[in-house]
Amino acid sequence: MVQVPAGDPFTPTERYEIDKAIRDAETICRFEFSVFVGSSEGEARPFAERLHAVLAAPARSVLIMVDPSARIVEVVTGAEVRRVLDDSEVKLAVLSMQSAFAAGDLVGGVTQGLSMLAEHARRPRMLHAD
Amino acid sequence: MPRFDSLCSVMTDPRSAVRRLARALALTPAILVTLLAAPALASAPDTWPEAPSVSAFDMLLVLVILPGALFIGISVLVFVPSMARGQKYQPGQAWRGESTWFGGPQDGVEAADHADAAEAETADTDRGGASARW
Repeated sequence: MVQVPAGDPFTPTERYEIDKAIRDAETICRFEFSVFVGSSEGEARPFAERLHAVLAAPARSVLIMVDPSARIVEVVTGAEVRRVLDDSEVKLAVLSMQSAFAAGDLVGGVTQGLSMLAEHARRPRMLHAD
Repeated sequence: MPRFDSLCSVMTDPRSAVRRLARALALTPAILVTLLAAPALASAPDTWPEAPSVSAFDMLLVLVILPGALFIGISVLVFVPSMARGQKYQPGQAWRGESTWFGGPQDGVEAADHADAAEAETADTDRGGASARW
């Protein structure tokens, strides 16, 4: 079994993949995305919400928190995001991430979840505004 | 009777003969083809042609070695990419890496510690989201 070095859990390629997935997601739906991978301190949900709260624009942000040791994935959406991306749609993305993580595919799950969230958060094009 | 007279004037259409002829013409090819098709008869061969004898090696090659080679080849093709990538994370394994925050603030997780928890609670009560375990 490959021992994971204590320093950086991701190879440069994996980092690039996740960064690119975040950029793509932001381009698709114009919201801010951020991904936290690591162990949560204390309860997962409050921790994820705290992380979400210190983002630059929490109301317009989506935070994905993955705790691989506790096997928890949390998605927090801001108030403005929530108007477009309701919790059942988030749940769908979370389920797909969950199945990828259960198969051991951390990076694949994150990128897939990001793209699903972005697709669902894409606002319908306003055709007749007036 | 006057009522039947009017009916007859409707029924006896002078074009009906033309229509009948056209119908007959349209059906003729179909009828001809069915009648002309002779039953296909082929005499069965008296003996089947003698098959060339197959050596035991040829049989093994086709029935055992080739499928086996295909099996191994496909398995290698499936497993080599993930082995070369060196899968870091195994579902049962404890996470050894540092916390990583993509798209987070400059000072990373410390920012969350500095932030006042109570303030964070009240800042945005209309948050949404979902969670799952695996």
